[in-house]
Amino acid sequence: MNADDSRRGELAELARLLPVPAERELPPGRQQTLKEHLMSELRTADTAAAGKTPARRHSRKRAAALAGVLALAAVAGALVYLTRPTPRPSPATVRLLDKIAAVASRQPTLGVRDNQFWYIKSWVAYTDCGNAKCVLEKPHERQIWQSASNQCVTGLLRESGQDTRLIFGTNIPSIKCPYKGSLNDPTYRLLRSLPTDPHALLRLIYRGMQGQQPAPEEAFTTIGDLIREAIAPPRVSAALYRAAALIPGVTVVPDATDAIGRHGVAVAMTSQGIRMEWVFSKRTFQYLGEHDINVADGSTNGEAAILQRAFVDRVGQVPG
Amino acid sequence: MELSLRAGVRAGDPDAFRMLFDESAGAVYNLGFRLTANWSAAEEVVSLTFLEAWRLRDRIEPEGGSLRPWLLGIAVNVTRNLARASRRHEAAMSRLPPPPPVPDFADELAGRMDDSAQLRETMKALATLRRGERELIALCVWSGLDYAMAARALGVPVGTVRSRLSRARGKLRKLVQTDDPDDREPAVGQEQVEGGREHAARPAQEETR
Repeated sequence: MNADDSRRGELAELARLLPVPAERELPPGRQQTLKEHLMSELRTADTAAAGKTPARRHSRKRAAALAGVLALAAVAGALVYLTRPTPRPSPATVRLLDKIAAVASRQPTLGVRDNQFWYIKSWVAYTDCGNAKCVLEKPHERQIWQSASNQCVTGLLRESGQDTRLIFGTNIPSIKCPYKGSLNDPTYRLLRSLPTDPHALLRLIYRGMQGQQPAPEEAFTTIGDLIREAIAPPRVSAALYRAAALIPGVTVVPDATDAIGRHGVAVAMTSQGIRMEWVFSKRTFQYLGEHDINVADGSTNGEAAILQRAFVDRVGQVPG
Repeated sequence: MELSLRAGVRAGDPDAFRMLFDESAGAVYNLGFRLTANWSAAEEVVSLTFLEAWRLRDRIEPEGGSLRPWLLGIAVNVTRNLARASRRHEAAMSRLPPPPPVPDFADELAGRMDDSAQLRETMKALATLRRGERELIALCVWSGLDYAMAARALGVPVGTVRSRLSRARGKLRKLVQTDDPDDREPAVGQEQVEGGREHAARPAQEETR
């Protein structure tokens, strides 16, 4: 199977997982109205521009100079891009992640049976774009139960008291049950099989992307998902944190808060205008939660606080 | 033809722009709906996208294929910042005649509500994905752009497109069946059958963002 085929396969699978949204034409009269409006606005824009003729000669020179600067900047940008612009994490960032990893590696190893479920209770609010504009949900409790070894076993999601059964997608030809998942939909069993060498682990994460350039933000996002609503064995958790310390652009935010207002120190990365912060206790260096912030206005784009993690024998069972 | 359309739009030729509108307004309209779950917001996205396209026309590369990926990229940005884009084009938007009242046909009305309700369900599932993952689903799965075109449209590397889509796929693989009070404590024996698969009615809300 070549790359094109596998991409087509991936898009086809996504299309199968999602309902086909409605499609329609602009109502004919409306299409005409929008077009006439647009064309008349373009003329207005041109007239407005033409009205500025006195200043124009001057500004054209300035524009040419500016264009030159922009062209140079573009070339510089391209060069920087090729030579990997993003700085390696600072020594302070590496030290912090190392401390966090050391704490994670000292957690007791759980005796987990394949027929158990992980139980993770959190307090979350995410951005919901379902109704014409994106709004931050009301913060609420979220509890999830997922099989420790096999994604084909039905799990449960309980949000604000509402239950949703997590049933594995049908018609995915590439997958055979039992399925221990992937980096993007892991089970404990999958996480247990990951390399504990941070370089090897990061290579594996990058390999999952198969792009021409490694995408540091994407690796950071993947690790962020793996440390939040999942449970990994101590040595793998430690390796995930040490792998994060190898990602260019990762920084430290000295004071951050999780979704229930617990203060901590954050490991952060900015991507497309959103700063993703993983918040850790300043005292114990344990993971508290995540806070995603729109850099432009400081507003919250998403937040989570982990309240409890455990393995239980049955779906719906809450640890005592 | 494509080449001359590109050159024409780039040069600010109104006729080329009119052609671009005829050719791509429908694609922008449907993308706008998929990103907002609201047909009238989608109309606004159409107007704002073309106003932005006119403003940004001199940034078009001289060479290249269809302008549609570029236009859909603008539409994604407009949707991300609908408020800011409306402010920028406030005067122009104030001159846009309001849409006619919704025709009073029961079927048409029901159709509308179904579209929006169904997409809102999907969006609920998609709300658990990150913004970037959601936008790529709209561009690649529903608007038919390939990875390279989507990468150009959003100004991100192809590797980013690939990783976001595989993450989205992983998150969506767990499909969600609506809750039924009787399902609250599912029988253990039934749930533990290895290799058992069940049919799912609705998409997932499994992972976060």
